[in-house]
Amino acid sequence: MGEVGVSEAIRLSTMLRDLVDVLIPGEDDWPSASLAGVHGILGMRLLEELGEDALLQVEQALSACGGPLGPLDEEQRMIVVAKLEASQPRLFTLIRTATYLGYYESPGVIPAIRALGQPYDPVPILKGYHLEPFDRERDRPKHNRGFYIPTDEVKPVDISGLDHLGERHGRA
Amino acid sequence: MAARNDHADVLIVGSGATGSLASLVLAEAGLHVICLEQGGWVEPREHPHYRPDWQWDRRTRWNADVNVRRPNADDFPVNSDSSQVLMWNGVGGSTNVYGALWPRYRPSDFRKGTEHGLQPDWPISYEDVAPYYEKADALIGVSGLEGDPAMPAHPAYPTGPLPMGAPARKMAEAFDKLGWHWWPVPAGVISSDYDGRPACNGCGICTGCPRGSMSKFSLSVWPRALEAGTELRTYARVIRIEKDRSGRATGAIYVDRNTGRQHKVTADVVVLAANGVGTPRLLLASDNLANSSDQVGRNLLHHTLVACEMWVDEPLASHTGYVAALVSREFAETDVSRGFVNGFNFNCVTTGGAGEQANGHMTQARAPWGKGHHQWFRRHFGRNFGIFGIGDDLPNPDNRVTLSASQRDADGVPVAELHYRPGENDMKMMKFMSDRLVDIAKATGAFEYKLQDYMDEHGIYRTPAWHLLGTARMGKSPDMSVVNKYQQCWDVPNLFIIDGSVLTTGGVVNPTPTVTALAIRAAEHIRDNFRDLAKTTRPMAA
Repeated sequence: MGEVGVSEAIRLSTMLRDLVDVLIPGEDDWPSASLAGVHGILGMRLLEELGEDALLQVEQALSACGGPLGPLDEEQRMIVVAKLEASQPRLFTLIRTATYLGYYESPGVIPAIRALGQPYDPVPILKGYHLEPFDRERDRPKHNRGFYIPTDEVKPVDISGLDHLGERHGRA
Repeated sequence: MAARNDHADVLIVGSGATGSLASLVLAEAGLHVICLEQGGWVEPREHPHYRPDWQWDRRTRWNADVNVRRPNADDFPVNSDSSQVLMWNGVGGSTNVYGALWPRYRPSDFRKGTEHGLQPDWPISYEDVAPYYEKADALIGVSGLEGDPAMPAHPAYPTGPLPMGAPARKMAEAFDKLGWHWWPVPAGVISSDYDGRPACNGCGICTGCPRGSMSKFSLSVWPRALEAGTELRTYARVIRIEKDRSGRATGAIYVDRNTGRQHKVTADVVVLAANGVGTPRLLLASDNLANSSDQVGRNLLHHTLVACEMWVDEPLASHTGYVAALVSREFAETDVSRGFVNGFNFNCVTTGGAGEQANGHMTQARAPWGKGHHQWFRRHFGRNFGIFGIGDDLPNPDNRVTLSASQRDADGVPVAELHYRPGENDMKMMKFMSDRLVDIAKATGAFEYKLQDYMDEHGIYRTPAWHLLGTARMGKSPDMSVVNKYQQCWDVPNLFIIDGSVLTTGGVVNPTPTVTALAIRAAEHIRDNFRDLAKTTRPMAA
């Protein structure tokens, strides 16, 4: 790969890294999206969904909104991404969806999810989640509410007050 | 051209839930059954469940919407100007991706003609179908709790109720506070090991189930149907049903997708099990077969559908356990004081994985990007659940499946086109349902809730249409219906339709239990009358 190719590779990879970190920055025990490796996942998702020039499309869109993000401070980065969200809603939705799902599917993020105190497995079908079996004494509804109309007790209802049905009366 | 010509007693088109059941019933009776399926087998490891990126996978490659998932050669093209068209084409059909809620219709669902005349009465009653509900339940091992006062009494389900998780308890509290009916949901999911399949392990990824705990029909019914002798041909796409001068169906022409060659199967009886879009498409593309009533493709029903997602303070681990928790039949019967006819049901559901929760699962409520992201996630994760309001929509002949005048698929069959717009009664019902969903959200003490009305920015109702019903409906007379009470075409006496197309009304619940019960009933009718059906040319009586 020549000088231009290397430069482009670094430029586009940096763009993805900066972009995912604006969407999901690090905080306390939560890694930033790039620290979790989400920029790589995002790149693949964009390629998958938009084709080979996907990253150039994103770069162009960001540029039209005031990018690239690299030289900007935090507040300016937020403004650029907000413009992207407003001006390219479909592209932004794809970026956000791929970033959010990629982040919470990243193995490095799972401990932070678990630390919230609820069970969480990245591939839950493997072990399943334990739930207390249904206890007929404890769990059976006690309300005795509910009714149905038996077949031979279904009678005509008066729909004359339902004006919106006017022209449909009798039409089946 | 036809390199392979063969004959079956019964030819079945489609290997989904109904095609598999009919294959089982008829092959067990000793009949030679050939079933043609345009897709292939879906192996358990192909499902998204075993991938670490299963949340992305089920939005993309495994999206149930044929127009969203990646180009999948097993699918056939459907142009929709409104609804999202949800289905799966392959062995087991849409049971590869469904949720398997298993509620029955109610007696009044079969008597809407008597009740208000805006829908026809079915030619059969709840009592006619009830024994077949029980047969279907036994075959797939339905779980649930008997004794619901809002339903006719019936024997205990084959497996007991699934666990009541924390979201179910929370929703039950809310219904109790409101004084409304609720009941543990019946499910096509086994709560204990059954018929060689393992009990549900509560993983919560209920988009089909590669374990077979949820009844994926390729794992629950097909092994038995094959054992009984059914000849299942995969990658066999039917392009036309043929008939002879006497008006009888003679069989089908199909394309072997592995070779591209056309073949013909002749049969004494032909059964269509190709769903509410595929069946009318095939009939219309077969020189307007069985359509003297002009009802083929019309009266498409999806159900009215709205939803609400809500978040409460306490952690509920709402991503665990079977996806459906409770049903409420409080509003299932017509009460004209509400301002509309027909009723609806509430289906109470759990939620998705962490990424799906952050990204907005049932609604557009999602974590903000930027600084507030983690705070939102800490506040919301695992504390949410959703409720769908699902109601009985009125039939409209203009809501329909038609054939494209200009587009054909790779085999030369016109592309299906789908149009659906809810009527005024449906809209009034959906408004009422949304208001009641807000009542529930408030009763749960939710700190946040969000409604979903499935309207796009242009006001078009883009419902996620799992339920593709009514497009070859059953009726009492040949002028306003396509099939009689045994699902036999009025016009073609040896042609039967056994998928959701035949439902006369949609009821207020997920239709698969009723569709499967009817399929068994129709298959038994074919079995018991095969000799006559193999030769008759007379139009059938109602």
